[in-house]
Amino acid sequence: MAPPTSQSPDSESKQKVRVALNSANKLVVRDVPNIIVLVGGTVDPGNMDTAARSASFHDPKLASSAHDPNWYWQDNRPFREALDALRKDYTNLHLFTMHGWSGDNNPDNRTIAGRYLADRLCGGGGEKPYYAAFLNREVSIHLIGHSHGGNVINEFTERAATSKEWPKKWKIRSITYLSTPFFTKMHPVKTGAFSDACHITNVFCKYDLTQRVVADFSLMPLHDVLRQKGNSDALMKEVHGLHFDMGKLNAALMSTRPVDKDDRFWHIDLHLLMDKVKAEQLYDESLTAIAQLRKVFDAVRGLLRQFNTPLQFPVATELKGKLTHERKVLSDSLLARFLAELKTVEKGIDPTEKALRARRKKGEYPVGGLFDDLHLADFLQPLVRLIGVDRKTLNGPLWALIGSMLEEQVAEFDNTVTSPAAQLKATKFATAITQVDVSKEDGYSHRHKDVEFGRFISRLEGIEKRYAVAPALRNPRDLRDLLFTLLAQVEPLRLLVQKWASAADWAASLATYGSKTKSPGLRVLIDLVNHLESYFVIVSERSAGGLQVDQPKVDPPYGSLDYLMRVSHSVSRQDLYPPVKEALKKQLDTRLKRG
Amino acid sequence: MPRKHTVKAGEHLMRIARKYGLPDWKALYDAPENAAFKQRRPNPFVILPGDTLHIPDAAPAEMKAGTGKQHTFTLKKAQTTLKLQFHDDGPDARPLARVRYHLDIEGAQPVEGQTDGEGWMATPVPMDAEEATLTVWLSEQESMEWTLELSHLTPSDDVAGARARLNNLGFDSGDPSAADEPLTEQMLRAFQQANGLEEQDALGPQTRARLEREHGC
Repeated sequence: MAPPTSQSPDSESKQKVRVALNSANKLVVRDVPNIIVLVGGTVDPGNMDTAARSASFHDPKLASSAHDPNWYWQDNRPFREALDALRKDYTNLHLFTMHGWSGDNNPDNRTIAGRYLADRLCGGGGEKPYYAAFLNREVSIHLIGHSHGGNVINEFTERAATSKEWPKKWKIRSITYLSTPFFTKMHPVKTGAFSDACHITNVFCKYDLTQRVVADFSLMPLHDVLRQKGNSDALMKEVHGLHFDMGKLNAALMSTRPVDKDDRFWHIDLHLLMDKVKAEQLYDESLTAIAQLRKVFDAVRGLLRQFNTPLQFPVATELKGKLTHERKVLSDSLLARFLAELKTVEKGIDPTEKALRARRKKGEYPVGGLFDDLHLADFLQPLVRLIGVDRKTLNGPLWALIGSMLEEQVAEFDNTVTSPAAQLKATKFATAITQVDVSKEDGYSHRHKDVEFGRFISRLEGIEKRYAVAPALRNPRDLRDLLFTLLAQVEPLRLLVQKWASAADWAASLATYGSKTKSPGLRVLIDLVNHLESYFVIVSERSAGGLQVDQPKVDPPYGSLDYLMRVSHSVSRQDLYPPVKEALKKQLDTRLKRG
Repeated sequence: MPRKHTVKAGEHLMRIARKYGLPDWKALYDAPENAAFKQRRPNPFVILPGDTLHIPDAAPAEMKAGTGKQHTFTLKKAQTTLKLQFHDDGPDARPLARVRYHLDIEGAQPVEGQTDGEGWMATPVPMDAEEATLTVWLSEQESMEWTLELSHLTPSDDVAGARARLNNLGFDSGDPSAADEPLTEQMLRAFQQANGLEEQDALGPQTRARLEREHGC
């Protein structure tokens, strides 16, 4: 319990008040207003409308039916109830739940959101002051932010420290960071508006993959991309349209009969021919499938071109007029690369289609000709080349494209740490930090996977460290390494790739045999098997040994990437844990209610 | 002979009436010549320095007394009452019930007491008293102290009067007499906002009425 602020006559200057005689006079007994401000983080995936996301806050004056049911802290009931109970225990404790921001994951939005919040509370920057009644009073501010909400808080501290409109009597008395990724360069905390007694509580969960790794990459807003449902629907429609009736293949093959093509007596020229009608049906089916495949390629091209079209991002309330709201998800040069790869793969169909048509025109269908007509080697070779990967450089046509696409979505890379200690090192608040580890509150902590998780996270953090150099010096391999390290923990993929372990043996045998034959089909097969082996090696090297635990069944499963990124990241805001609550209470300098 | 009196800070009708030998404040307040004043100042204990009052002639008090007897006349000591209600600060403000207080009034014995269940303190104070020191114990360890400027509260349509009320209600407006128009407007707007008032003028009639209602006078 916080000791009551002593306002004894000896220590405080007397307040002078004017009163009337023979009349009723009300006198409010002053108590320092303490304002707890909740600041949400980036994640609000269910709320795709940026305007709604900006307004995604809780207004205590509105009926519950009028609220955004998806506001940031909605699901954190124990946490909210604990804060509300605290509010009721103290005379002048206020809870500000009205801050909504786009939550978009980029530095500009965080900066603007922090400034906007500070301005909104005190009426700076043309905003209407929310706490106008306190503008000329001492006020203690307590900031609680989850995830990037902590970085929004840091921008708030910057605004409070530098804005002439921020009331000098308003002091930040505590900050509670919940799972905040603290950047090395961006969003540094400023202590100019801190109370001398300010205390910082840093709450973290060691399994929190978002805080430790993912947040380093400030991914550009993608909500409008996800809205491009029409294009992805078109693609899916064409994919679903891909069909090949195996019955027709069987029927044609089963219809094969030896046919003597030499009419002369005693002369025999046997050919294994398929029944004409059945073969025609088979060839028509194949040509239809190819035509459909081309439609799939067209749809992919359409989708890629859509990503290259400047998308309009509806600007969040706090960003209006302050931020550009147009962006190409795919740059022109990257689009050209994607299209070139697609063209190469699609070209692999040409010989097949040409041969099928020629055969259809000729009207005679030897069974051996069918396999020649399919031109499997021509068909598969560009595809196999595309998925190829070098196990050392982790490069390959497809991965180079994916890596480049990822790079284009990263607004800024800045390595993060899990504590504000580095940011506060040179200040007098360096020793005013309480670290609260809530890892034990994470259900995953009871699944005995600490060794595997440790292996996984140290590998990722090693990559981040290497990548945290000047942009010009960054090695794209590190980004691919990071991607493969993440993929290597995806359980179905990890288990699938394990089955390719024996590919090494196949590859060796095939290579020996392949050296004796010129068969292009075999060459493609050898390449494919080699690639599979490379994937096996890459994934094996990066697999932490199985992070996921499927029993007991939870959604998402314990230890899955989804779990570590979302569930572990939110452990800190599930409740106002006792050490966090105690640290906050110590900082409250409003009085406990009497009685 | 009728006279005029210009009100000075800290004066109220009882003091003025006594100064001119009037039997009580009603003789002053109800005088037909002061009808406009009465209309302007519905509370005779909240008046404005600079207000002018017509002073009616004081008729000497007449007492009937028989001769050859000893009579005792009791002169009532003129007193006024100080009525304060203490409230917590904050969103769920409650009256400060049953708290101990100590009042030091100039020229009078100190007064000790306890607020009632609704946080009220009502105590007689000498009519001429203009200043008092009040201490309220919120707990055994914690107390608050005020200097009370008695009878210095001016009407709510006076900016200083509005500011004094705002101060008493927790909307810090600074020294009521100091010139700080932006702050006053800011606090009046804050008061309007807190009370759900939408009035164009910062100190319009609705705001003044609400200010008086919330403050008590």
